[in-house]
Parts: sequence; C-alpha cells; structure tokens
Amino acid sequence: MFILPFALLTLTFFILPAIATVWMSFTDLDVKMKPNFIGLENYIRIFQDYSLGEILQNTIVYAVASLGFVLLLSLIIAISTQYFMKGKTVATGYRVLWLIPSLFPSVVFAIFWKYIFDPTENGFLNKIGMHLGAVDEPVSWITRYAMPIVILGTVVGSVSSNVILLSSSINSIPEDLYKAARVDGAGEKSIILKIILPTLRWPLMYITITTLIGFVSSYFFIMLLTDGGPMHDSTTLALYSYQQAFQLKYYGYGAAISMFVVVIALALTLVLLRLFDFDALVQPSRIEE
Amino acid sequence: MSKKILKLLVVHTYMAMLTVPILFMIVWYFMTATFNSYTGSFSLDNFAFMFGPIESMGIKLPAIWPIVLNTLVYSFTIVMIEVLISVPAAYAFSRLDFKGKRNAMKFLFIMRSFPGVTLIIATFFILVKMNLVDTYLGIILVAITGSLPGHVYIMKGFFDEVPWDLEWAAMTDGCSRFRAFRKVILPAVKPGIGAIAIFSFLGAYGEWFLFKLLIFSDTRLIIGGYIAKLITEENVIVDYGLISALGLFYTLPVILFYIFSQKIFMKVNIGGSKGV
Amino acid sequence: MIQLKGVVKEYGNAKNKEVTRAVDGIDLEINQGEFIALLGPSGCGKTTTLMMIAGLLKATKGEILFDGKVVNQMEPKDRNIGMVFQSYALYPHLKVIDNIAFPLREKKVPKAEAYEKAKNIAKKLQIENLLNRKPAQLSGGQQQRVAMARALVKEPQILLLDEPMSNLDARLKLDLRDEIRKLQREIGVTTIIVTHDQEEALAISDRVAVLDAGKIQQYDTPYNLYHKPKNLFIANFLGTPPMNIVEGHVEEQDGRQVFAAEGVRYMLPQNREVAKEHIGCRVAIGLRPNDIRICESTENTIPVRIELVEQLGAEQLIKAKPLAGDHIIRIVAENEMKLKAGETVSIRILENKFHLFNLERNGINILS
Repeated sequence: MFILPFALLTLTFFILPAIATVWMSFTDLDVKMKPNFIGLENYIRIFQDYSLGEILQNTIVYAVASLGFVLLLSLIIAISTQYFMKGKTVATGYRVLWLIPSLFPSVVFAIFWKYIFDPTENGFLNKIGMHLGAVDEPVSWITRYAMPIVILGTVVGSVSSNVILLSSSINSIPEDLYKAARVDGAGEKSIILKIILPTLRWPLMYITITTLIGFVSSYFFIMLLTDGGPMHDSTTLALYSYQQAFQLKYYGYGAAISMFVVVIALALTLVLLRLFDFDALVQPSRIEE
Repeated sequence: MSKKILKLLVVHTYMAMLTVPILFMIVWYFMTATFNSYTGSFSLDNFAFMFGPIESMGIKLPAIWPIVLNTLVYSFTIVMIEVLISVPAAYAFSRLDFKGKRNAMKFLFIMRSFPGVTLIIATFFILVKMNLVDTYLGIILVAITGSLPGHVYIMKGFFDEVPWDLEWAAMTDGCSRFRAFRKVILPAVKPGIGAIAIFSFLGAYGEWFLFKLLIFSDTRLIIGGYIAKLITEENVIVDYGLISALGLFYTLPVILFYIFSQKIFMKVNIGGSKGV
Repeated sequence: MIQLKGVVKEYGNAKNKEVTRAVDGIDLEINQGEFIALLGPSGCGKTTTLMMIAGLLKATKGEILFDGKVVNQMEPKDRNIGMVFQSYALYPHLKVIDNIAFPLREKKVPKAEAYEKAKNIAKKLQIENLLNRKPAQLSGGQQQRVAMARALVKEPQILLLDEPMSNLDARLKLDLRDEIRKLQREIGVTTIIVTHDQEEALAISDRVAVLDAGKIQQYDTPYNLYHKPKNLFIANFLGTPPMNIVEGHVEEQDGRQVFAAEGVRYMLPQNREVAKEHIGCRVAIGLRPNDIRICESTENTIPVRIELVEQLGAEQLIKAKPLAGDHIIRIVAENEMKLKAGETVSIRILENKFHLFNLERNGINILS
C-alpha cells in the first residue's frame, strides 16, 4: 500500500502526540515524571496567571502586525515586479534578492538581526549611528524595541514565499485584460484596484490564514532573537508554553497552554477548509481496477 | 512616453527603498567575517575554525568537520526517507481510490496547516518512552513527520498535473497500474521530486530546534544546532566576526545550491489559487 | 467481433451519494475488421463507452464480449488493444522511437525485434525521419502519427481512437482522415472512433452509432442515418445546415392526409401517408434545406417571405418565414436565383424527401 509508511509515521508522531497533549494538559506532570490527574486545574491556573494578559496581547500584536506588513510588502513587491516591470531582468533581480533572507538557515538569520541591533558599539546600527553622530552612546535596541524588532525580522523572512505565490497569480492575468482596461480609459490605480487585486483574492485569503497560523504557533525565531525578553515583552503564547514546559519543567501546564494555540490554529484551519473548494482537491481515480 | 519613464522611476525608487537597506545590511554583515575587527583590514582569521578546534573568548569550540559530516548525513538521510515516503503517498492521494480517501485528505490538510510544534511537548515524552531521545532515529522520525504533510501536498499537486491520458495510454500499451506509475508517471513528476528533495534538504540543513531539544551529546550536533547553542547559551559575548564567518560557511552552500536549482523552485505550486 | 450487451455505467458522488448514469444500457455489435464511429454531443457517454471497451473503466451492469468471451474483468493490458488519445499522450520523457517500441517492450518482445517493428510501422506512417526527437519537438500532426504508430505497432485486435483529430487544423484533418481509413483497410483491424464531428464520423466509418443521454439513438450506415433518421434527435443532429423542424399535426381532409402547422398546409402524397393512430397527435415535419425548392405558387406550395439571404459560396442559404407563421425555414437555393430579403415566394417540398416525427412518442419517425 502506497500510504502505509506515511500513515504509520503520522499515527505515532502526530495523532499520538495530539492525544497525549490533551491528556497531559489535565495532569500535573513535571520534572518528577509522575503525572497525577488534576482535572481543570491547569486551565484555571492559566486564567489566574498574571502574565497571561500581557502575553495574549503580545501574541495578537505580533501576529496581526506581522501579517499586515507581510501582506503589504508582498503585494507591493509582487505588483511592482510582475506588473510594472513585467518580464524585465531587474524584476527577477528584485525577487531573487528578496528570496535571500528566506534561504538563510534560521539561526544565521537570527544572528543577523542580533548583529544589526547589538547593544554594544560593535552592532551595526550603533556603529553607523555613532559614525554619523546620530547617537552618542550605544543604544540597547533589543531591550527598548523588542517587539518591533521581532516583527521586522519575521516580516523580512516571510515575504518571499508570498511574493512567489502572488506573482504567479498576477502572471496568470492575460495581457489583453490590461489592454482592454486601458482602452476603456482605466488608469494604473484602477487597473490595480479593479483587475489585479480581485484576482488575488484567493491567494491573499490563503496567505492570511496560513501565515496567521504560522505566526500564532511558531516561536523559533523569537526564541533565538530575544527569547521572549526583556521580561515578557516579546513572549507570545506559543513561546510561553515552551518556556513553561522545557525551561521550568511544568510539562502539564505547558501542554495546557499549547492547547490554546492548538484551538486557535484549528479554528483558522477549519475556516481555510471551508473557504477552499475541498472537493476539487479530492479527485477520484479515473482508472477502475 | 516620458510619463511611462516617470512611472517606472517611481516604481524603482519604491523597490530600491525597500530592498537596498536590507541588502546592504546583509552584505555588511558578511563583510565582518572577512575583516579583522581591531585593525579593520582584510583577513581570513575568522575562518580559523575550519582548520581545527579553536578558542574564542574563553570558550572552546570543537572541530567543525565532524559536525559538517553529521549535517550532511542527517540532511541526506532525511531527503531520502522523505522522498521515499511522500512520493508514493502523494501518488495515492492524487490518483488512487482507497477507503476513507476523503477523510484522509481532510486530515492531511489539517495536519499541514497544523502547527506541529505545539505538540512538541507530548512528542518529547513519546520519544522518552520509546527510548529514542538523543538518537538520530528519534530526531529524524520527528523531523520527517513535521515536514511530510506539506511535501505530500506539494507532490500531490505535481501528480495532479499529469494528464490521465498518459496513464491510460500506458495501461492500454500493456502496463499494470504499478508499472504505469514507475515507467510513465514517475518520469513525468521528476521536477516535483526534485522540488521536495530540495525543500526537505533545506529544512533538514537549517534544523536547530529539534537538536536543542532532543539531542544532548555534542558529538551528534549539526551546524545549525551548534550555532544555536553558541548564541543561546547564557553569558556568551558574541564575537560577530567569528559568528558571521561561521554563518557564511553555513549559508554559502545553500545559496549556491539554490542558484543551480532555481528553475525547479519556481515550478512549485504552493496552492494559492482556488481549488488547487 | 465485439459485443456490448446492456452496458450501464454509473458514477457515484462521494459527497451526496447521488448516482448519475453516464451510459444507460448500450447494445452494440461490431464485426471483425469493421470501422465504426461513436458520435454524439459532449456528455453523451461516447468516451465512457470507449473507456469501458478499453478496460480503463468497469461497466456497472451488462457485458462486454470480445469474440464471444466476456472481458469485463480483464485488465486493459491483456485486451490487446491499441489506443490513440485526443492529446496523443506521448510519453514526454521518451524519444519517438522509444515511444513506438514501448508497447512491444512491455510485452517482453526482444529489444532488436521490437525496434525493428517500430521502424517498420514508422515508415508506413512516414515518420521515420523523426525517430530520434522528443515528443515536445513535434507538431500536432506529427504527434498524431506517432500516436497511431504506437497504437498499431503491437498489431492489436482492436484499435480505439478517442477524438484523434480534434486538435488538428481543418486541412490536416482531411488528409489524416483519408490516411487512417486507408491504413485501417490495409491492416484490417477492427476500429472504433469516438468523435463529436459528424462529418468526420460519416466520412470515415462503415457504421455510426449516434449516442445521446447515454443511449444509442441509431446505429446504422452513414447513408441511412442521413436519409432514414429513426427519430427527431438523429434528424436534428445530423446535417448542416440543420433540418427544418416544424411542429403541427396531421389531419384528414377529403380522404387525403394533410400536415398542418401555423402558416403551413401540406397535402401528403398518397404513397407516404401515416398510420391512423398518428392522426391528431403532435407531429413535427422534418425538411432538409436541400430538399425544398423555390417555385411559382401552385397547388400544395407554401407561401413564404424571405427574411435573409446568406452566401455560402457554392450556393445560397435563404431564411424565410411562412406568411402566416413565425418560424424560420432555411432553404438552400442555387446562386442563379436572384432573391432579395422582403420578397414573397412559394416553396415546394420534394415528395419523397420529408420526414414526419410523432412528438408524443419520443419523436419517432413515422414514415420510415
């Protein structure tokens, strides 16, 4: 059977963990490794957690702001390169340049930002700033602007895949449509608003949901860059669950928090499933045996 | 016509304003690797790590080559296993009828957009129970399960594109279903296999998180995990010259690899338009 | 000989459990060496039928027999068929010669022999100079020839052609059509072609099965299909410009039968009267545009006003309306007749060239 290996792997490392996560969220599993069933206590604790408000707020700010900037940037780049400079070498050049950040291994990418915003005089911004006389002494950028820096890094890293997606959609618009619009007296503004943007409705919706899921649930980048600090200034829900589980060894509590992330992601996925023509995805075999 | 030039000028200005600072920073960053930070002159001192264990600011760094070897072994194993598993699975999802296909497909979709990392706490315990913590087998299994759904989905897109006519022709020309898969369908999806091989290589090559979590022995580290360890360990004052030299050493193969395989990249349909 | 007995194909919809019938009980007999066509509008089930003969789809009900043996459960690869697809379906990764030799290699024919045979068939199809190219480097017509060669190389018992010429331009189509016919005669392989092009079907085949809504409407020689249509569907479907259909009824008048419709009265000739049971029923008269003459107003003619005159080149097409009616009647007239829109003329129906269909009985032809 073609899918047996796939099914087996999925079962052990996806379904099983999913069930285990639910189960763990109802226990007090910690470093002693002796789980006791404690019912809803973990969940009650979440709502009493004094840092929860801040973390939730961080999560929302992080996800929504990153998404907004990613969409805006991807749109600008895709439309510029695929419409205004269509077919020109320089367009490919821009697209390739934007691809570089996403090719970086994530550790290197994180160090890059660390270097840019390093608090000592060795950091890029401080060096430049001091050279130009804009700042007198090294600024601890990360301490001061943790969240904006995290968002900046995330946005730069995730633009390119979306640009590729949007570009191929813009590319599928027949050239005649632009010509017809121009003959009908449309300016660039209305071509973008009335022809290109409507075409991008589906890809944009897709990007919105998948990137939201990504931003809500992943914490690798933040972990490397700021590790949620200073204090909880750049801690998101997903990172918090990781910290509770693996740094403080409150595995049960960590699992309970990650259940929240799971629920959000699941809800978003279901929205995605509803929006998409799922039936077109499942085609029957056209050979009968 | 001059209006057109003006328009292009505006667009270029926009693009340049967005692009150039980032490009500049990246170049500068890697430049630090090739300069001595004290004298400011060109030097390759920072690449000393390539020639043996070195000491930097009081921390001993192990030799790099065994770690490079680990990285390659780890990455290529993942590529192989992933291709071997995802290609047949994608074929089944795309072209075969089997019981529960609809639900399996729905499940694949959920899995794909589902953050596997949220389940990492439980996965960790399952590995503990299976005695697979701190082994390559364990980390490979976890890594593959994480990236498999996406790759199966991409691969399915490639299989969907193969016209049924081709398979029909093979069947009437004397092939069984399986033989048609091998002789006709597989050659037709070669670019797809290339694409997922590249994706899984890049994924595996850039991995660090799972190594931080599941591997404790330094002898089993790969480059990503090694650098992550350097920068996340407390109280390490980072020598950017050294770190960016390491980063360059780590990134360069990927960039070169990318340049050679760029065509395959562009063919991948990530699934944005409706009903893809 | 190929036989289809009561073949039914149903598709289930996984989502709402609805069942649709693509093929609804087909009976068909094809003799050894015969060339037949499955003709019909898209969605009529003709390709599905072909796929079942090929074994790529399985019949829901009914039997398919090759030489008296039921083959329903036989794998496509064991049926000894050659097939040409609409898209030609050449294997893109193989060179032309490898494409042609592929079926033989799958039959475990030794390599040298397989390539020898492949070369021979390529010569017959005049593509021996293309053997080392990849399919992507060929024109549509060349690809079509390669596909034919690949289908014929294993000397199949049956040749199946699925819209093989629909992607070619008109001139090439005509040439290839003749060539396929000639080749088929020469080899004597039983051939089934699926097409929606009636001209192609009528020109190329010995017999044509016209399908609609999953059923065979008529299975007959091209001549009979055109001149003796079994029912209104066939009459309407075949022929360009299409047959004029005027709805009315047959009534008796002074011992003679008269077809009467809005603005049309036509006394039927005595040798072509209908059975009593049809009198008073809703009946349609079918008139080919070529079977109507423009004439002086005499007995049993119909006065019409010309609405439009179209040049067809060799002749002209007149669109006219009966003086007291509102339906268009198309008439093909010689170029010599000088006719203008707005003119009133009379038309005469050729006595043995009209058809009557009883609409209350599924449009069956009541004169043949």
